Amino acid sequence: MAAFALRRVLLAALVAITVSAIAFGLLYLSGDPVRALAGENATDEVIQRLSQEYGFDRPIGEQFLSWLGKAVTGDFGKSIYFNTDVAEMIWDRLPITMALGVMALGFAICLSIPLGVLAALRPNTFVDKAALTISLFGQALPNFWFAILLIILFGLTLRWLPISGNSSFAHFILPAVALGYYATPAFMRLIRAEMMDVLASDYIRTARAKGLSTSSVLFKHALRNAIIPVVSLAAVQLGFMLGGSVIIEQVFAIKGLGALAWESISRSDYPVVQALVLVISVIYVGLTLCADLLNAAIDPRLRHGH
Amino acid sequence: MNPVLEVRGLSVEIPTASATLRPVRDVSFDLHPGETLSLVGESGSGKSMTALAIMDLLPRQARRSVERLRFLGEDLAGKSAGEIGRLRGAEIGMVFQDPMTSLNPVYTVGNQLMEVYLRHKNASKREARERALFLLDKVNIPDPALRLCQYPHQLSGGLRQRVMIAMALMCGPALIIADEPTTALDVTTQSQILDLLRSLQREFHMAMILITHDLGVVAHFADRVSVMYAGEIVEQASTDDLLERPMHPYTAALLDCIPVPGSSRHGGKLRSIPGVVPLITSGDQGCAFRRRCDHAQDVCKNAGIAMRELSGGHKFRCVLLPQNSADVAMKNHA
Repeated sequence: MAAFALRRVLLAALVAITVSAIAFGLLYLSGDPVRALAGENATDEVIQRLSQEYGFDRPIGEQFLSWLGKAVTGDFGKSIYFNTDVAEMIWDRLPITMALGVMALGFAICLSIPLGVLAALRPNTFVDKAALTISLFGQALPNFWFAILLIILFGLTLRWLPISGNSSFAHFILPAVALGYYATPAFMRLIRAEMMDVLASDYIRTARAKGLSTSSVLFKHALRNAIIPVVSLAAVQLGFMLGGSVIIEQVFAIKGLGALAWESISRSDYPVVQALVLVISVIYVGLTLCADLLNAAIDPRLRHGH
Repeated sequence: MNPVLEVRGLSVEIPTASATLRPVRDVSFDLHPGETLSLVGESGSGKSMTALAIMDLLPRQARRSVERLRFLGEDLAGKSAGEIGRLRGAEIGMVFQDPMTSLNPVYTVGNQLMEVYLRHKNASKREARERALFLLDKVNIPDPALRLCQYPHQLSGGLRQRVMIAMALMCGPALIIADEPTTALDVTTQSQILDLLRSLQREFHMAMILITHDLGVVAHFADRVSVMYAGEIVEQASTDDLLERPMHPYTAALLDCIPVPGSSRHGGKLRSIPGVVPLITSGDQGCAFRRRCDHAQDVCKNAGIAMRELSGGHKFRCVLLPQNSADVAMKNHA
C-alpha cells in the first residue's frame, strides 16, 4: 500500500508541475502581457519600466521558476486590476465553491446510487425506465435553464428557499441541486451498468449459493465491487463542478471561484486567472489522487499492483 | 434408505421473444446418502442448469416447474426463497467451475469462509475462524492462518478451488453439488482436487452431485451416472453398467470419443460427434439426438419418447430395440 501510495503521489506531483507550466503559459497566449498592462497609449519608456518592474525582461524559464517558487509558498502576486493579493482573493472564495461542489456531488450520489441499483435489479421494468428518463432529463437540460426553473418553483412560487447569495446553508441548496443534477445521469448509468455486470458475476452466484441474505449479497458483495469506477468518476465530476460552477454561480449570484474566474477573465486580470487555473488544477489532481487511494482501499488487487 | 435428494419431473423454461427455450426437461433422479451421482453431457446439455434449478439459483428470466423436489424428506418446491436460503450453504454446499472468478476479489479468504458459518450457525467470530482454519487444513492448504488473511488474487487456481471446497463444507452439508470443479484447472491439479473431494465426501459422509463432461472422471469417481442431452436425461445407470453396456446411442457415441492410448481405432484420429447440441424450444418433439444419431429412423421423430428400464435400474430414453442399441455399443467397443 505504501509503495502504491508513493507512486501515485509522485505521479500527481508530475502532473501538477506540467499543469503549472501551462497555467504560466496562459499569460502569453493573449499577446504581450506588458502591453496589456501598460494600456493602449503607453510609451516605449513606460513599457520598458513595467517590463523590468514585473520581471518580464528576464528569460522565460527563469520567470517560470520564480513564479512557481512563489506559487508553492502561496504567493501568486498581485491582481493587476485591484492591486490586491491574489492568494487572499482566492482563499476568500475557495470555501464557497468547495461547499457548493461537495453539496452538488453529495446530491448527485444520493440520487443516482439508489436509482442505479434499483434499475440494475429490475432491468427493463418501469423502475429502470423511470430512472433512465430522469437521467435523460439531466443530460438534456442545460443547467442554467434548470437552475432558472428551480428558482421559479422553489424560490418565487413556493418561497421555500433563497435564490441568490451565499450567506447561509439554505442558499446553497438550489445551486447544489442544479449543479448536481447535471452529473446525476453519468453516475446513474455507470452504477446501473456496473451493478448489472457484478450481479451476473460468478462470485455473486457463489454468495447466493452460500445462502447469504439479500442485503448481504447486494451491499456487501455487489455494491463494493460496483462502486470502484464510481469513485473515480466522483473525483472527475467534483473537479468539473469546481471549475465549471461559473454559470451556476452567476445565476445564483454566489461569490465563488467560478464568479471570480469569470470576472477576472473579463477584466484581463491575468495573475488571478493564472492562479485560479493552477489552484483548480492542483485540486483536481489532488482529487484524482484521493480517488486512487480510496479505490486501493476498496480493492486489494489495486494495492498489490494487479 | 431414504434418499437425500429426490427429483421428479424437473423442467426449466426460458421465455424469449421468438420462442420458449426448454434447457431442462423432465429430469428425475434420486440421490442416496454417501452416493456420488454424476451428470454427464456436452456443453449446453442442461447439467449446470439442473443444479441451479435444484438450488433455486436460476437466472431471473428462467421459470422452474417440478413435480417433486424433496431434500432430506423436506419438500423444497413449496418453500419460500428465505427458507431455501437457509438450506443453501448450510445443508447443501456448492463448488463451481471457475475458482478464478467464483470468489469475491475484494474480501479476504477468511472473511468469505467465516460469513457462511456466521450466517447459518449461531456462532461467534472466534468459532467461525476456528472452523475456517480447521477446514483449510482439511483441504490441505499449507499455513491456513496466513491464507485466511489473504485475498483471492494472491492464491493459485488450485488453492482457490480448495478454498471453494472448504467454503462449501463450512456448515457440514449433507449434499455437495460440484459443477465441473476441475475444468478450469491444470491436469495435475485436477486429480488432486477430485481425490480431495472424494476423501472429504467419505470422511463427512456426504452425498455428491458431480457435474462433468469428462467420462474418465465419471469412471473414477461416480457411483451412478445420468447422461444428459439437450436438457433431458437420456440414460441412467450405475457407473460400471453404463460403461460396460451403454444403451443410448448418445452414450455410446460419447464413450467412442475417448481416446485409448496405443489404440489405432478410427485410424489413429480423435473421434468427435458431428454437430452441436440443439436448443430445444416448446415446439420441438421427438428424440433430440436424432439429427446426430447414426441409427436414427422415422420413429425417432415421434413425440414423447419414454424412459425404458432394464434390470438393475438401468434406464434409457431410446425407441430403438435394446438389442439394437446393445449391438451399437458392442460394435463401438470392438
